[in-house]
Amino acid sequence: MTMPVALQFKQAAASLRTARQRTLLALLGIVVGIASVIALLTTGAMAKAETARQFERLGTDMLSVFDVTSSSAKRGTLSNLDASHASQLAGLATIAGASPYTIDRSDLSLDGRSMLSVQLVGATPAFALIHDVQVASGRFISALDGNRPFAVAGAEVAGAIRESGTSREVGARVRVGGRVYTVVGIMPDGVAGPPGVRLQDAVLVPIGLAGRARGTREIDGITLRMEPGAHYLTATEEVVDYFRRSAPTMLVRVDSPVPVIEHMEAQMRLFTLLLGALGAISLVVGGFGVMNAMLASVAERRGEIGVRRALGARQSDIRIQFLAESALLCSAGGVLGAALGVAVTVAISAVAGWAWVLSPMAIALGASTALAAGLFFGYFPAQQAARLDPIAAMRDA
Amino acid sequence: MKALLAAAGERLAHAASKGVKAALSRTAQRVQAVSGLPAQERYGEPLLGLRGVRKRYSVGPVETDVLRGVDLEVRAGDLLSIMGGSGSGKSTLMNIMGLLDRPTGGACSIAGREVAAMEDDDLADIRNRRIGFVFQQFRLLPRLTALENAALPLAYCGVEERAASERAKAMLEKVGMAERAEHRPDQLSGGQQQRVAIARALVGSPDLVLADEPTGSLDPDIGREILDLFVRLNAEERVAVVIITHDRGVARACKRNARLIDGMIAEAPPTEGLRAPQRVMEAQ
Repeated sequence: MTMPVALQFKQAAASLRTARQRTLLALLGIVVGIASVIALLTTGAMAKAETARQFERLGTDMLSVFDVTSSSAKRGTLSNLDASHASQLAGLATIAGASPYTIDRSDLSLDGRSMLSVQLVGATPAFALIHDVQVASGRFISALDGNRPFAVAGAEVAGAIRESGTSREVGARVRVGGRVYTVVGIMPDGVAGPPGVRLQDAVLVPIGLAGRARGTREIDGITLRMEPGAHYLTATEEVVDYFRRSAPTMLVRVDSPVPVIEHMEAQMRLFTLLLGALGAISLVVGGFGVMNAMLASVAERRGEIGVRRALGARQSDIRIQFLAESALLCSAGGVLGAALGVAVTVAISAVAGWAWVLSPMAIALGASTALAAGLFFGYFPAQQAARLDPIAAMRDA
Repeated sequence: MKALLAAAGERLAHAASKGVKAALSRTAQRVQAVSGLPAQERYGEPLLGLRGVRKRYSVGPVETDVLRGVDLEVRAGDLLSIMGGSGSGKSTLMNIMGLLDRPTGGACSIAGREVAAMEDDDLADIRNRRIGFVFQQFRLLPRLTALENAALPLAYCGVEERAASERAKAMLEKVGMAERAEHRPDQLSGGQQQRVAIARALVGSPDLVLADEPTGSLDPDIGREILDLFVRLNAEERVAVVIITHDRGVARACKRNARLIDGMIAEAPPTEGLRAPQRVMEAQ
């Protein structure tokens, strides 16, 4: 017969209470270990979520098309990327819409006074739809405008116009790229455009007028939005295929944020794993603390072990007695550590300005690891206690 | 020999109260009633037998024979003292009798079973159910109360906690410690601790109690009380008691005496030694 396990745990709890100082010290190690596992894993998860959110803003359903034909190869050919390609690309099965654009650097002047350097971006009305840009005031350029000199100003440009003392930004007449435009709309802060464009200090004008200033119909790029559910590889393939047919001499690059996101996510996984490993190391250190405390406890209680054996405790009774103590110790450490770990993640998310994520996986992992650590690091001392020769144990004590 | 027995009987009669007599005759009656046989024949069935037991310790190349062929039999209801000087092998003998150690030669049997054939767990179970230990240094567990200490052996044979507590309480009452059931060992005197230890030894209703110098660290008066307690419980609980001692006074209170000299039993009175106290009783 062996001692009932419930009674073993009761006695284990009493014994831990008695050796208070040692219990607390051993507990501290495991608390720190579990807390760091949870804190680091959760921090990793939060960082990952934050990165993912940033990339989502780039748009996972977008493709960017650039002409990368070298200028020497271009000589003598008439094939340049232009706005007509955009309207044809928009007709492809996997493509929902296309927004061609040009980018130029230009000075903006108001009432004859040079104000600031801006990006003069030539765009079509599709730009607003594709890049999901809503105006803060006024309106976007529309198909009905044709090539009338209307412009949409970025938030910082609008701020500069306002500071110049003009009564209203919408309706202001500005000179950019050798032409006077009437501002019809203002874009809000925090919107994103195609690669290389910073919409805050951009002035958007009809692409035809921008081209006239450049003296060429060539454009700098096309942003495509894919049909919902289309895979970026399929869409890319279709786009490349279109150019192969319609402009075989042109060398086109099609970019998708998806592989970048996937790459970043792989890196974040690695980062999380690394943090988890760091946490695991502190847990192992904590575990050795528990083992040390248990070994000390066994050494200190040799006499008790001998007496219990004389009174009829089997080896397994003694083993379970000490395992129960370390399991109890580590479980308590697990609970406290989990609480501490969660508190740390709340603090980190507050400081970093990240959204707080409670990772149930991390908590489950932390808690089960605590118990496992208790059993693992408690086994050796418990085994040592169980194997003690009762006579020797009583003689030494 | 006869003189010695008579002397022992006298001491016993002196030590034990009249209750002992009553208890002894009660036990005899009970045994008779149960078995239908005369008490004299039932009383004293073999409990523990050592035949040619040897124990050799090896420390490196040095071999020491501590026990060199011990023959000893303990029967139910026995009250046996084993005397011997230090280094005579008393403790080794007690460890072997208590199934804490195995002999390196000879045979040891308990309740008819050979110890050599038993697994470690079997030995633990037999210690738990058939043997009670009383130590010179009491060896109560310091964190447990008197009651919890007394109940401890029952936990190892799966007795439910409440029932174990009840039995331990009853046993503490028998040794006169009911009032102090909730005290921890450091709140008890040496004599009180030893009483609790005796309650612990008896709580599982063992057949045999092994006491190693049970009065050795007590004042003579207190030691006397503890000895009286052994004598009384031996009679009342019908438990065989083996007391290892170097105190002649203790030996004289026992029904039988053995002497361990140089690892051998030098003097072992016949096991039907229960005659002695009975003769005393008849004489009174």
